[in-house]
Formats: sequence, structure tokens, C-alpha cells
Amino acid sequence: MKPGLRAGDGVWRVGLPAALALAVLIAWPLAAVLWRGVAPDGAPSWEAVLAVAGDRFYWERLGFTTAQALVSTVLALAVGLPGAALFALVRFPGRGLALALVTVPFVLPTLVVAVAFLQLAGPQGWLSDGLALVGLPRLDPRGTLWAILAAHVFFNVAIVVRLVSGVWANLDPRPEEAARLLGAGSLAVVRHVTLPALGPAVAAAAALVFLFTFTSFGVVLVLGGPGLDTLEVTIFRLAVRLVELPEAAILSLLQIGATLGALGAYAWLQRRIAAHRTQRPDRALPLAALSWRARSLAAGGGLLLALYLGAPLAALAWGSLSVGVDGPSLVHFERLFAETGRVSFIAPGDAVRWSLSFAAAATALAVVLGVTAAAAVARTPGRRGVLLDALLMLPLAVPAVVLGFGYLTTFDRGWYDLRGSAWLVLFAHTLVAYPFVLRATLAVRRSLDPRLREAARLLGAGPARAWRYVELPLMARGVLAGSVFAFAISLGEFGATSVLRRREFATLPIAVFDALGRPGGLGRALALSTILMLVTAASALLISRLRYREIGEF
Amino acid sequence: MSGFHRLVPVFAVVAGLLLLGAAACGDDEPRSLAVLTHDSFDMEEELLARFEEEHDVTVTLIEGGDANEIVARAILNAGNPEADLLFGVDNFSYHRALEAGVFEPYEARRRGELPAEFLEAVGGTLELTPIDYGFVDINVDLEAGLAELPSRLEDLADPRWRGALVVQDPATSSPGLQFLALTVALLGEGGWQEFWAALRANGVRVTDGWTAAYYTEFTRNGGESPLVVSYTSSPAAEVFFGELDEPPTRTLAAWPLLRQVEAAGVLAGAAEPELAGAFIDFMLSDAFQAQIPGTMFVYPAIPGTSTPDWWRWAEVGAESAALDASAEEIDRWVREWTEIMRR
Amino acid sequence: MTSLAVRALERSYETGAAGSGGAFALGSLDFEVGDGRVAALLGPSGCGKTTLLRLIAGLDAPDRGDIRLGGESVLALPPHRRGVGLVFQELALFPHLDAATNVDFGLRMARWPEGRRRERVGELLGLFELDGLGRRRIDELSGGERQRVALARAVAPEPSVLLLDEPLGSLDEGLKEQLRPKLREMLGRLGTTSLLVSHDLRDAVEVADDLLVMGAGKLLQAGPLPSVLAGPATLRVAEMLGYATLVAGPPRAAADGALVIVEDGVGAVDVPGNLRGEAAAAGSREGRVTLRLLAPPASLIGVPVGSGLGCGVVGEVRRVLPEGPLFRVELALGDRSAPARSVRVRWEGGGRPPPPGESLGIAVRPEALRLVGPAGAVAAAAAAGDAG
Repeated sequence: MKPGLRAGDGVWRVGLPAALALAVLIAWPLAAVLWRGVAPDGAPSWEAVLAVAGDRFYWERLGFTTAQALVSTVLALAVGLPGAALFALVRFPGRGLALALVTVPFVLPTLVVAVAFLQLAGPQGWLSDGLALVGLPRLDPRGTLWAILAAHVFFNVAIVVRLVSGVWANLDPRPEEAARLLGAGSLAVVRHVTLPALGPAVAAAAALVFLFTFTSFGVVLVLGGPGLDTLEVTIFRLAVRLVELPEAAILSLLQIGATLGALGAYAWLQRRIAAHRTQRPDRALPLAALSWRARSLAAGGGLLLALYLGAPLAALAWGSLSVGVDGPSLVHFERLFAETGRVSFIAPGDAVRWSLSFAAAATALAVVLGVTAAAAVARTPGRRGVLLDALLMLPLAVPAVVLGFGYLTTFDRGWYDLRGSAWLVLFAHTLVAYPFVLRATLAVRRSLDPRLREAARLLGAGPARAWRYVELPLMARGVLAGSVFAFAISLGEFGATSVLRRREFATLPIAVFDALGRPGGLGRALALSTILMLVTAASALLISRLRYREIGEF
Repeated sequence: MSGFHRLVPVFAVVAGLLLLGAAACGDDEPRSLAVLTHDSFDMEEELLARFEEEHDVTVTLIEGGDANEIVARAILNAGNPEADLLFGVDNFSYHRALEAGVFEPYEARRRGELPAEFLEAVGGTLELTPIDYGFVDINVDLEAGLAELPSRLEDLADPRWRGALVVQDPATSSPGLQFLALTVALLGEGGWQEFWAALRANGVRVTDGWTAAYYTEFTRNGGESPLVVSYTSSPAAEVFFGELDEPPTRTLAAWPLLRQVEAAGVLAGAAEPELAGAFIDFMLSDAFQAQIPGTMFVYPAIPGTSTPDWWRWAEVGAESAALDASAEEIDRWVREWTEIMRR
Repeated sequence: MTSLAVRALERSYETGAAGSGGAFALGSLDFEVGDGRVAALLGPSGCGKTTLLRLIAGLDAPDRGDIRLGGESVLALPPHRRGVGLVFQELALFPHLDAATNVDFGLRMARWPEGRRRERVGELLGLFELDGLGRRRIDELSGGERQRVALARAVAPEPSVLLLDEPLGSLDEGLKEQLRPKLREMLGRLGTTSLLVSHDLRDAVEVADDLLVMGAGKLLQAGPLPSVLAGPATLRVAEMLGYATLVAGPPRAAADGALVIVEDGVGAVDVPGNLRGEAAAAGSREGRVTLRLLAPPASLIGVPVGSGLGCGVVGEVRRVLPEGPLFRVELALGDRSAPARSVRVRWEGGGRPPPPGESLGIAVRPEALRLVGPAGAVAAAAAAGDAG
């Protein structure tokens, strides 16, 4: 690369906030706790390393973890892409609301989802009842790979739908029209014209789904069974029994290494397939403008998605409203709000307030981090850029329990004794949230015409102002799509929060967890989950409103 | 980065409020006492307020997971603890904590009133003071229509109860570990391994924790298993929460049970060791002991504490089994169990 | 106002900035565009024109050489400090802004006062005939309108030099026809030193004062438009300027000291008097050589065979192309089954030209002819009135 506009307009200046934040919030605590694990007596214990390397069990866990993540990713794409097409191409009544609802599964506590799933597809569930009616055997997905895969798809389909439909809705439709005139059938058009143009967005979504399912914890812990542990769960099992911290640390390194490898491959791939396609305003057509065939296809796809995502949610909401056989009642909600006079009482209002506060603050920080990180990655050429990209996704690769322990052992003295501080929760939320902003922003940025930036430069804008007045507004859609996820991630975050929590700033998922852990708490947990569901849907809706106001001209 | 101003204002305001709030949460009070405890900890608010008033102190509760996790946290921060006091260490997790030297000795005023076997269960050392105890046993759903109930532990591996039992993973669940220990205590080395292998072959369900077992797998709550490993107080809790006259479940109590003693200790390096001691005394006070069944659903450690009427459904007639095991030994059980059940 | 000078500029390349792949080099370039003049840079696609513009604009850095605006080197300046305006081939209008805000962008960046900005934008929208379209979104504008918005945006902040990359490239033929004189008029009114890049000779002819001809990264010829058009220095330049080869073959002495160039199957043409010496010298120096006679595009006229008006070259009519009330005829020269080349001639006779398949002679004024020697250099232009 010759000097000029594309290489290094102050990469380090741009990337500094993100780099600093990551160094302090990830690298330091992680290094501290891992070093402690690998070198309990001050020097690395090779024995433990060899023990792990020589244990076939751990290699099997790595193999299983990878395989189930790949299958989950493929399935999530298979379910999510038609959904993305629906949202991108069809303007139907309630589209905004539906898109907001799609986000909901993503943030629900796994245990609650497991309950909802069993209510639906368990041996006593509605589906089984239906099968039994026609004389078929009842379903029992418990402890099977199917349960894990179904839950993974349920949780992650939102990523595919939101990220891909956001880009799809703004693709210039003319190349498709051209392809159709050249004699390509509908499927051929999608395969040869649309999908390549959607490449970066699809790859971004796939990478995130892979990452999430690779490090899957709650789903596997609750729905899994013998032989179905992921690395993350294995690490958790080892770490909470402290004596095996060396193994936990080594496996964490293995997980981080494997994840970074996958991320590097993805980052490299994404640079290859970055497709420039003209951005156009929302291309969705009203339902009435579609042919009868397209209309029935859209309706079919929508219905399927609605059933798959909606039925468990409905089962959950129904569960929160039902007590015994007396029909719907609000008794669980009443109990939720009734002061118990116990220290365990968490006022639902407070939990909602804290959840929203953390989510808002974490989203703000995640936007700053994510957008600057995206700028740094985009400006770093070649292999270094790939490496940087992968490194910046590190927070998603680190086992939550390890990060939590890292925080407790690092921010532990003097002025930076933050144990028990809401700050740590905010930091943890920011860290798991910002990769979404980064990915979504990069996906849009890579499809931006670089000449727009050059045009701005020639019109007298320095790098910063070209970024601010041209790139940022054009990336706004991506930033906002990422923000919705960042917000949702924070709303639903449980792993790291559970280590850092305090009753004084308990979030909704913590309150759900707390209720589930107490005798008689299931009804309250379901009621709280329903509230979480509503809060999530409302926030997603609100943020998408913000999006249209902010870039209404687009 | 001024360029964010268009996107951020909504978030920024809230963020500011949150940060102010967090600052306000900081330690402005002259004294504060932090208690690291397990997730099931609970007590009456009024009682806590009385303690705070009496000692002019603010009490912060840190719920750090189950017994294993809180001990792990205490060891992780040994010498520089995040709390002054730890409550919830039990007769299986205490070894490791003592080895790591996370506690300071403290002699509670009512220590003399505690039964010797409780003290022995947590090492018989001044570093730990028993506060309550409980038992883990098979709970049976009386409405599930089981034709007969197992009378020996080994019966659970019998085809008659195929797929009927759900247990918890001892690696992640405290009652799970208690139940594993019970099988070790009753069946002995070699016997317990065979038993679990047979259980697995007989379709036993394993969940990560008590919640999933009791609330999703137990037939009482819409699951498939009429037998669940749970606390002997669970039937009483059913009565209490369901406002019932009689429990719809009961414990089998067909064999000796293993007592799980939960203890408290002052953490070494605590900022407020005296206050921590005072809190231990407070936990042994009549007022605190009497509300233990209603808040934590376990048995008060001080003999003769008056308990609510519904608590009679928690009384167990079974004799006590005895088992003391080192941390290494417990680890070995869990490892071997994991070998048997998860590979 | 400022002159633009490029000195010994070199740039090697991996891939073209606009995405055309392959290794590439911009040779040592030297030229100057005088203050307030409009220069057109003509060259085939992929010859490095866009690269040159990017170097001048500062979007890429040269390996060697210098770029001067008003005598000062601007190499060290980043693009936004150079005061160079660029109209991209693809326009690169900001899709998130409306037409007026696009035009306003440079003014905002230069921190013009609010009132002057509004005034200037209004003035430019007027100048570029965009009145009333200011609030339109970019995708609501027609191709020609977008073109003008891009131009207005580039000139708004009063750049000292304006660069235009194929400014009419994306438009249809009719629109180009309309826009060329307008572009000329607008550039004239602005008085900004401008460099326009195009692969289409007509853009250059109708818009520019000076002409630069470029091929494969090298500058082939530069000068005021009329002199370059009338006097291409090499065969290559001549061909790029549309000159047609009438005959190509060995020179032969004819009666009364005349010299003819003979091409089998095409014909024989007299070498005009003032070129005879040159041709004879080439012939005697090199032995058996091939010389060419070229003629500029508009100078060939079709005449009936045997009318006595022809220059000695006869072709077969291939197509008749109506051009307004007149006709243009495409003739194949040489062997019927394997023609050497085709040329287009004007038909000035009454009625319709002969139909395809018929033969037609070609008339040309001798002073329009150019002689190309074996080395490819165009020998001389016949001075007016010198021919006999």
C-alpha cells in the first residue's frame, strides 16, 4: 500500500479508546486470572497443560463444541434468511413491531426459555398432546442435541433476521432486475445476485451466531445432557470447583484460541467478499403490490417464523398468567409486587429501572467503542487488520465466569477496588455488547462506496469531519442495528452479571434467577420474564423509531 | 468523539444518571458490613434493620452463587476479601476454605449451645460457626400415581422406576453433591460407582441445578419425573406457598440421611472483624434462628428454637448418616461421577 | 486562479483505484494547464487518466515527481487542504443528503457564514439550472440533474483547480450532445482552471481549450486544442483523434515527378507537393517502406467512381447512415472478401448515396492529408494554399 488516503489516517488515534478500554477491561483481568490458573505457584505448571492436552475428553469437548456451533449456525441461517427477506422486501402492517418482537428471544434467560420449550415440546407439552391425540408417541427432546440446536436457533435467529434485513432493505434492486431480464429464475437471482451482495451481512451474522453457540452456556447447561457439554460449560464446571482452576484456565485459553482462529478466518473472508452495492432507500413493497405467489410465500415464511419464535414466548406468557386450573389470573404478578418483608425482595420496578439504566449506559459506551473500533479495523490494511478485527471480538470468546473471576481478582484494591460496584457490571455489559456494534458497523462500512469519503475529503473535510458528516450518517443504520443488539444483550446479560451482582442493583435476569432459586419462585420468575420480554420488545421498538427519525432522509 | 452526538444523547443522559446513582451507592456511610453468602440466603428485612440500627452499620449482602462458588470467591480474594463475613460454607466445601486460610477464629457467644455433631461437621474449629442445617432426600410427587416407592437406594436402579428420578449435577449443584455424598456414605467405595452407572442405564435425568430439577423435571411442576432429589423441607415449602393443608409431596426418608450444616465465618483481612463477629452472634440469636425456616427453608442450628406450625411437614424421622471427606476426596467423587455420567 | 503543473510524475500501481485490476504504471508525466484554461485529457479506458486525477487530488500519492498549483508544490498537503475540486466519474453524491445539502457540503466544511452559504448554494443551483430541485433526494433526480449537482458541489467552495473524471460518461448520447455546450459555457463562466478527463474526443473538442493525449500511462501530445487536432505528432495520436488511413503502402515515382502511394486492392493516392520530398527521402533511405496517408475525420467525401473527383481510392459501400438531411457512408477498403479496413465518408451529392455493394470513390482536399513515415511520426501538415 502506497501512502495516500486509504492506509492509516491515524489508526491509532481512532482506535485508542477501544484499545485502552479493552486492555483495562479484558486483557488485564483475563491475563491475571489465567496466569493465576496456569501458574498457581508463580511458574507455569506444565503438568496441568500436559494433563489437559493428553485428555481425550477435552478434545472431544472441543470437537463437539465446534460441530454443534456449525450446525446451529447453518440452521439459524436457514430459518433466519427467509425471515430477513420478509422484513427487507415486504412492507406489511406491524412490521416494526414484529421486528422488535424477533429480538425478544435473544435476551430471555435460558432457564425461562427452557421452561417455555418444555411447555411446548416437552413430554407433557402442547405439541406432545397434539401428537398423542393422533396416536403418535410424545416428544422428549430433553437431554438431546435436538433440544440444544432448537434452542440455539430460537435464541440466535434474531441476529440473522436483523443484521441481514437491515442491509437487504437498502440494496439497490436494479441488479436483481437486470438478472431477471437476463433470464434468471427467482432462485437463481437470489443465489447469484442477492446473496453475494448480502455476503458481508450474512457472514457477519453467521460469525456472531457461531460465536454465541460456540460459547453457549445456559442452553447447554439446562437442556443438555451427558456428552453434550460445550467447552464453556466444561470450564464453568471446573472453575467453580476452585481446585481445578489450572484446567479451567488452560481450557479457557483453548476456547479463546479456537474462537480467535474462527474470527480471524471470518475477518479474512469478510475482506474478500466485501461487496459494494449502491445503497438505496427502503425497497420494501407494500403487501398489496406483491404478486399472489409472492404474497403467499411471504405469508408462509412469516407464519413459520412467527410460530417458531412466538409459540415459546406465548407459552411463557401463558405460564405467567396461569395458576392451576382456574384460568388466567394475575396472581404471579401480584406476588411479584407484594412486599415480602424479606431481604430477598427485589422490587420489580427497581429491577426494570436498573436493567434499563445498565442497557442505556452500556449501549452508549458500546457505540463509542464499536464505532471507533470499526474505524480502526477498516483503516488497518492487510493481515494486521484481520488480526485486529479478531482481537477486538475477544470479549465474546472469553468465558463469562472467567471474566467475572478476573474482575474480582483485578479490581480489588485501593481506589480501583470496584468489587461490588455497579461500574463493573456496566463494564461487563459494555464488553459483551460492543462487538455487535462493531460487526454491524463494519458490515455497513464495507459496503460503503469509498469515493463518498474521498468526495468529502476533496470538499475540504479532514478525516474526522469526513467521517462525521459522511461516513457516520451512512453507517447510522448499521450502528443502530448494532445498538438494538447491544441494548438487548445488556438487558439479557446474565453470565458475568451473576458474578458481579448486588441486590442493590439487581437487573431483571438476576431477579428471574433469584426467583427461580427460591422455593415457590417459578410463577414469579415467569412473571418477571414476561416483564423482561415486554421491556425488550418496547426498547427494540423505541430504538428502531429513533433510527427512522435520525436518518429519515435516507 | 463529537460525531456521536446525534446518536448518543438519549443514552448519555441515562448513563449520567446511572453513574451518579453508582456514586451515590458508594460508601458514604461511616461503617458498612459486607456479607458474602449463597443465593438462597434470605431473612426478614425488619430484623436486619434492627441489627443495622443497633450497630450503626449498613449491611451489604453479596450473593455469590452456591456454597462452592462463594468459597471459590473467598479463596480467590484470600487476604483481601470483598466481604467481612462469609455465610453458607457447608460440611463439604469447608475443607478447601480452611486450607486456604480464608477465615479468622471467632468464638460465638452461643457456641456452647450448638450440638457437637454440628460443630464437628464443619471441622470443629473456631473459624466456623454452624447457623443452620438441612437434609437432601428423594422427594416424591404423591399425585403422580406411583404404584410403589423404593425402599432402598439401590431400588432406584430398578426398571420399576425407570426414568422416574431426576438428580442434580454434583459439580454445579449443592444438593447434587449432597446426594452423591449420601450414595458414597451408604454404598461405600465401589458400590456407589456401580449404583450410578446403573442409574444412568435406568434413565436417570440430570440437571445442572436444583431449580431445573424441581421446576422443570418434577411431575409436580409439569415435568416427567415423579422422584426428585430435593430438600426434606420441600414438602413444608409446598404447604407454605400453596397455602395448603397437607403437602402434595413427601420425602422418602427410607434410609439414613446426611446432614448438611451451613456455617458462617469471619473472613481474614476483613475491614470490620468485630462487626462480622457481631453478625454471627446475631445469626445465632433467637429472633434470627426462629425465622430461618420461613426464609431459607432449613432447620435452625440452636436446639429448641420455636418454629412455625407448617414446619412440622419438614420434620424427618430418619437417622443421620456420617461422612467426612477431604476436598481432594470430594473432587475425586465429582470427577468419577462426571466420568460415569457424562462421558 | 491558479495554474496546474505536473512535473516528472510517476506512479506504479497494483490495482486501479476504481477497481480495474492488474499491474500498472504511470510514466514520467509533464504538463501544465494555464491559469483559467480548460484542458481535456484524452485517452483510452484504463490508460491511467483516473489515477492521474487521484494523484492531483491527493487521494493517492505519487512515487516520484511533483504537482504544483500556482507554482507551489501541493504534494505534502492532504486532499482537503489542496483546494482541488473533483467530479467523480460515478459522481459520488452523498445519498443521505438532498441536492442543496450536497452542494452546500464544501461550504459547510470551509465554514462559510450561514448567509453566504445559502446565497452561494442558490446561485449555483441557478447557474446549473437546478432551481427548485434543491430539496430533492439524490435518487429522485435524473441523470443529467445529478451530473449538474455533482458539478455544482465540486465548484461550490471555489476550488483553485477543478478536475472532471468522465463528467458525461454515464449519460446517454442525446443528453451528452445537450450538455457539452452547457458544460463549456459553465466552465467558461466559472473561469476555474480545469482538467477534464475523457475517452470521448467529442467531449474534448467541444469543451476544452487545450488538449492532452495520453496512452498507457504516458503523455503522447499536448497543446492548444486546434493545433493538436490539426497536427497529431504520431500515428497513434492521429488515430485517437479519429484520423483515417487512406492508403498504406510503398511510395512509387510517377510521371512529372509526382509520387504516389499504392496499396493493393485499395488504390493509389498522389502525395501532395509539399510532402513529396519527405516521402521520397523516406523511400530512398529505407528501401522498401510502407508510408501512410491519413486524413482527418470530416475531410473525406464520397464521390461516384469515374467522376474524376476521386483521390484514387475506391471502396465498397457497406452501410448508409442517415445524418440529418445528409448521409454518411461506411466504405470497406481493399479486397472484397477480406477488407483491409473501413472508413466513413460524407455524401454530399444530391439524392441517396449508392446502396450497399456498389463502389464509391473518395475525394479529399490535398491539404487535409498527413503523411506517416515508417517510424510512425506524422511528417508534416500541408500549409494552406500550398497544395496544387
